[in-house]
Amino acid sequence: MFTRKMSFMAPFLALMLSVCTSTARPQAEKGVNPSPKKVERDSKVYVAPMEDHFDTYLIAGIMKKQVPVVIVTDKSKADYEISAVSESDKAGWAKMLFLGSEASREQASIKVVYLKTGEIVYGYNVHKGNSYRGRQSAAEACAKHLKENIEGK
Amino acid sequence: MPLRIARLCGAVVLMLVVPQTLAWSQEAKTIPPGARVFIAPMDGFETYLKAAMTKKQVPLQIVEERDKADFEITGHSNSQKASTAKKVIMWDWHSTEEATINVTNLKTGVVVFAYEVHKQSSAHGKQSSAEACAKHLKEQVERK
Repeated sequence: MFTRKMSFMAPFLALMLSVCTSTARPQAEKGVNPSPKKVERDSKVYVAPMEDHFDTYLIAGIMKKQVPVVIVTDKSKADYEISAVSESDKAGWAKMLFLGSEASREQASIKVVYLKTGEIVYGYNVHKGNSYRGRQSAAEACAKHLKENIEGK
Repeated sequence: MPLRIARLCGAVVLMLVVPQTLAWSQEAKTIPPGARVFIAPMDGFETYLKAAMTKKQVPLQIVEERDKADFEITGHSNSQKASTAKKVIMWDWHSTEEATINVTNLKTGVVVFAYEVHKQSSAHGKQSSAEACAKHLKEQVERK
């Protein structure tokens, strides 16, 4: 008796559920090709070349921090593209004299674009007044935070 | 009976596909000893890297033509001579060196190894950074 009732009610329950989900998330259905809101694990990533060769530091940083992505050198094979800008200022005599530091000042910014939709899914910038390892530190900071984004921390 | 056959077929397909996929992913991430490597021009740093790879006995074969290579090493290096302020205030004559290398599998286009080094006070200039790269590349090749 109970199972009969349940089988009778099942289509109604399914209908109610579908109505609830459609009203709760109308934006997701409107998009033709919804892009992910974060970089997906094990996706293929292309790092765009940069004038100051920060791309090579960024690739090394991504490998060192074990970011769960596959870096490819062909843009057509990639799901995401990382582009970045960086700036490096070496320590002047005043910094050395008064602060006793010869560490450079670094700043860098990266953005990750989902290539199918052209949507920016992640962006990060870093500024280090006293960078212990120059551009390497800035690149590794970018990689670390990218990893956190992928792992959802 | 047909369900059993379907299950059996599924299992067979899984058994065939999964080990191959795992093997491919392992191959894609490693550099086998004896592989042919082309070192791309890096504003002169490539010569230091070749010398360092020979010195550190990296088990790779360096080739001069990209077409004959399995892997390609690209990268960049930057060298800053010690400024007068560094010499006078820090009492340090050594240069500041930074270098980075990326090793790409030319068949798959996947970057399999990358390393970066920064030496605030490099005892032997570019040679030190090139040898650091070579040393870590050797560790990667010999890793099983």
